[in-house]
Amino acid sequence: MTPLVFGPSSRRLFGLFHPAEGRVQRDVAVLLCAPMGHEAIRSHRFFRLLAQRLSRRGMSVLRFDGHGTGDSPGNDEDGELSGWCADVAVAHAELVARSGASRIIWFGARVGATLALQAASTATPPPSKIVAWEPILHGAEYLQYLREKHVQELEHGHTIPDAGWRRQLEQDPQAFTTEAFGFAITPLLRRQLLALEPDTLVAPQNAELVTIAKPDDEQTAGWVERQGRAGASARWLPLTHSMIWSSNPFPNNEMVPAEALQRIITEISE
Amino acid sequence: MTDFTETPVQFGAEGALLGILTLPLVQQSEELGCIVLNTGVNHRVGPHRINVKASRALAGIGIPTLRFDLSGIGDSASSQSALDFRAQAIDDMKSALDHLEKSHGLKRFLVFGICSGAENSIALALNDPRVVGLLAFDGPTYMTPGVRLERKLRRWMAFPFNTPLRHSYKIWADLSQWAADARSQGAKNSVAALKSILFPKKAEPVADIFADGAPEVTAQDFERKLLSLVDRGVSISLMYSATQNSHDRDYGMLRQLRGSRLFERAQYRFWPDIDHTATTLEMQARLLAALQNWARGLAFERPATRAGNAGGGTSQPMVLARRRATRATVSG
Repeated sequence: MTPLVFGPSSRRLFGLFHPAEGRVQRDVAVLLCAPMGHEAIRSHRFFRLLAQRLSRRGMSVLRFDGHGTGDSPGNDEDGELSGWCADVAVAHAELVARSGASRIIWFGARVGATLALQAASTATPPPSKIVAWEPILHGAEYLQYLREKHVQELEHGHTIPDAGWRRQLEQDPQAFTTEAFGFAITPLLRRQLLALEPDTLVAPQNAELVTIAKPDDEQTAGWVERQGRAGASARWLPLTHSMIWSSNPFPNNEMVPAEALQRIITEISE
Repeated sequence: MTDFTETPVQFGAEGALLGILTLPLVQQSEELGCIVLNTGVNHRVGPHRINVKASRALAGIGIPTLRFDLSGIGDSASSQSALDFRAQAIDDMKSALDHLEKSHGLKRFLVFGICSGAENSIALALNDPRVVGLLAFDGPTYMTPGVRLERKLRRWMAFPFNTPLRHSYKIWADLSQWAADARSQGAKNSVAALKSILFPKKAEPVADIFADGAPEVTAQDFERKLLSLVDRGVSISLMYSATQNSHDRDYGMLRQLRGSRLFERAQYRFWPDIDHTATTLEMQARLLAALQNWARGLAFERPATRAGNAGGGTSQPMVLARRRATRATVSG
């Protein structure tokens, strides 16, 4: 594993490159796109293990932090979807150059999956396959989810929580909209997320798409079906797993659910 | 334009440990650096990215700072040694200091840690004389039964008027569900809870550090160890959050040490409005400002005066430490 700083001088990115290992090295490399905010912290170990397992299967892997996230330069307040989308394409170019692989697969989770879908048309050469785990298709619902989890986190964090937080959450739609779980949600990022709807997100036509979501996630299942009808090579994969994106590590809350890791490795390796 | 640069570094045996070194453009002291530790199993970025912000805040006042992952956490490889987790953590942290000393000539170090990082900061200071200051946020607590009772009474008093507090009790949440739907999971949980009260089972044995008989650090041990540090001239700042208690007076989190001379020589600060991981941006800003103020005070101290204090007593640095303690102590 090699730590890297790459990308244009005006917008450097931190990444970790896992060169292909093992006796059989494949002409395949994998780009991993992490979620945003707390979910990125929560899933870091999942991404690390995924990268290690894939590299042992003979694939080079690059994981990276978008601008203003993780170890990359920039502040929370600098983070926004179009910039992160461009970062995916920059990381893709870095992976192509480093790995020399002719087939590039993208894996993304949550907002990382959404970014992968949005960035696919800008990458050269385009990714041949995208594995999207629970992509955020409906930004307004996601923002509402973040608001609720943010307040829950505050309540858990105080011996005697402020009863007004919950009332504010229920009564004032503008309350708790500028940050979530300690990460800034700037007006720009909020606008971009609000503009995100299932109908505005289009699966790339030149890449195979596997979308993984919970079996009861009808919204995502419906979206995949519509993409297929529109001509995309889109497949729906229901997966039950125990990953709680909004949790902190605590007992009885798996850091890396084995069933999800195994399934995703299989989907990428096939 | 930032006033620091950041570089990934690998160090330790076979470069197994990974961190990010944040270097100020203008260094405050030629010899002073800082390390920022993991919180639990969160990787070096820290909860809410607070370790990144802390590193940049410290570099912003001229202190080179390394945030890194202990063995087996984040992106550092698991150790091949047979050391237990604390001994391994100490070994890793010493490797971080060695790296900073060899590569950047730093000789004196501050340590910042939250939760398990706070405990590790104390463990490192006890094992490495290069540590001259530690800020431990939500480290060990030594409350008395009286403090615990007061905390419980305050929660009970708030119970009827505070919905989130009521729901923090699992039994209440289950009973509420039961009342709404007799076939809900809450109903089943309530029955199970009732059974466990009426027919208690022998507790399952737990492993490792949670096991009965695991080495226990008593309040007296803790006091003795921290006094040995302040006697050595180490600046200690112990901070506690609203996750521990809602109120604080008379050093409540360490009440078992009541009357200790430690309180004359170490900072003690309770934050009634900052939680365990500083969840909001505003909490983070205040915690980081406190970290900066504490570190700035140490960065301006001259190494010679600190070295002259090695034997403890009432030399100048101690007077400074005492003044700082008076200024920073916040109770209730």
